[in-house]
Amino acid sequence: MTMNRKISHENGQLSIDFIIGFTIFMLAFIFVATMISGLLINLQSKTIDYDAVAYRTGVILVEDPGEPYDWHLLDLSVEEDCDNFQRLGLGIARNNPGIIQENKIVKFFDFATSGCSDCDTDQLCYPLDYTGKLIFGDYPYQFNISLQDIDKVDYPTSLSVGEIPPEKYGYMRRVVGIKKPGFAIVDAAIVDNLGYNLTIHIPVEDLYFKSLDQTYKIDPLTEDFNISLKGFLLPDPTFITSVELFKYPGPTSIFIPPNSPTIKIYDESGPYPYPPTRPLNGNPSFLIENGYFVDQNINELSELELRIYFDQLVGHSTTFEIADIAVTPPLTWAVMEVKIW
Amino acid sequence: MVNDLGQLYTIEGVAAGILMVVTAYLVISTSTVFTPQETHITDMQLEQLGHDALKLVNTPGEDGTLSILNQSIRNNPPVDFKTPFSQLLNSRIHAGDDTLHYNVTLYYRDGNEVKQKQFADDGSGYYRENAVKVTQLVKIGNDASDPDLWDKIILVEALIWRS
Amino acid sequence: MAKLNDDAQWIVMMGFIVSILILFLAIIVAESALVGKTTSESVLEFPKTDIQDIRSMVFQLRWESLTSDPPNDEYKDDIVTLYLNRKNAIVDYTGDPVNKRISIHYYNGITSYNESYEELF
Repeated sequence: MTMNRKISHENGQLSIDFIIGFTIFMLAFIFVATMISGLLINLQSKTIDYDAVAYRTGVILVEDPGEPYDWHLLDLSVEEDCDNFQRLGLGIARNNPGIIQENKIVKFFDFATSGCSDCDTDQLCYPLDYTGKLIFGDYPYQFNISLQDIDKVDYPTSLSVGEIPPEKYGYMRRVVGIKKPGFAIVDAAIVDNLGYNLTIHIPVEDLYFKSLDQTYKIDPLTEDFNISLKGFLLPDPTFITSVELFKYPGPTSIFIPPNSPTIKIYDESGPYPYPPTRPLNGNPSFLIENGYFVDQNINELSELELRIYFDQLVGHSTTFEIADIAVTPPLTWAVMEVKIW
Repeated sequence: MVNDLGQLYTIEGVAAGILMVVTAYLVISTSTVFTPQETHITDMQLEQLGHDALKLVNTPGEDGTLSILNQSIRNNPPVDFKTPFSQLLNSRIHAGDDTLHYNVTLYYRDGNEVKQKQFADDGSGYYRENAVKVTQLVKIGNDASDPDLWDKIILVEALIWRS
Repeated sequence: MAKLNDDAQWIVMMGFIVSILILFLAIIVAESALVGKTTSESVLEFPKTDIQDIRSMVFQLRWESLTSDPPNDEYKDDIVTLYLNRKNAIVDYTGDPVNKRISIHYYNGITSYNESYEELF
């Protein structure tokens, strides 16, 4: 019985000794290879990334007005506007970080959910527009962005977009000031005689340059502007027979379309139909929606006149200067939370 | 077949296996575990939030008025400053209030020196290592209660930490 | 036996080579821990809030006229001294109300920021 029993090279058999030895080696090798992969976890930094992405998203939302800076006026179903739309941002201006614009907030949280694709509706598409124009990056991040004012009065349940976050996520919290659109209240106490119409002179330049700081500027071009009547005695029934907008020099008449953005009329019962079908309930207010002036080629140097005709003796028959009474409401403080996972 | 002779390949295989496992164990047990730098992330979040809060309290609510920070520096004692500042730091949306504390100091120039005055703190006296410092510049007019600050631009420094 | 049977030496050698590779990998990983900077460190290092604060104050002074009473130099001294003393940063700004130009400089030893701002209206 020889100790070294050589294997014949032709019968294709391996000794049991060889197999056992080789098996023990391979098992040990697999075990070690699995242990080594733990060594390389240090080189991956995915867990750090979520907080950084949340920080960056917070900065873009709060400090950047977006590209173009008036993206909330675009009609996203028009292909040219959709192509120009590069970046979401709620900031009011490049030089005023930390102040966000209410009209942009409205459009940001008004999104179309399932089944939307690029450039097919006027609303922002969830989640495509948010991941492509706000969060960026190839990795499919999931997110939740919430906004609520500190006193919980404007938004008692917070505004939010995104999924419910899991236990661990990257987090960033910012506090911001919300700039709300300017408005003017036409008080009947200033009116001294009655007429069938109310004429309001709107020199856009005077409104625009009333405050140089963008944080407090009355900007009817990129924001809503509300003119409301107060204290007028309206005999029952009173109808608004017509509303007309004129531009000087001329004066040339400006078209008021039936669809947004346009001039909308409200009274105490809600939206007032125009052409009118019912009498007024309480003092009316006129909302010049954001984007209407831009659509009608009105710029910051334009001089306008809004004429409101009633069928009863209501208004003051001479012209009213809006720039004297237009104000911006005080800044509202709000909290914004960004969660990324 | 079964005898007391050590088998060649088996012995070699066992030896090689033991060698690899021991090496791997030595390497892994001595390498430092590199956790993500936790303190830097929380510092970044805290510094940004603290600066936001101090800046908002230094922004006038309406054009032409003075901010809360400016008014409370003018009037002293800083009663009107503490509640809004604490509210801005600690409000959260889907959870209860956070637990951030602060200590605010004013720095002003007197000739070529920089002097300081204690301004406000929220009562909890001590601060931990990982506090952050945020600042704002405030322009004080000539009607402040403290004549040292008249017609100066001062630096407001807030030290903020989480308990 | 005539000579030692060294047929199985290749198994031990493979084991030995794998161990060497493990040690080599460990050296590389250990080196990489020293280089590289986390994102939050970079964020903390860049003086974004300082620069925003300087710009905001300079624009506030500009709207209230850069040639106001008391002379603007006092305010500028305040800002420059405070920033140098408390933040170790050099700040300088000049305003030209006639041509409506402002230029701002900030340097904290690591980051340098220069801006020229001109109003066209």
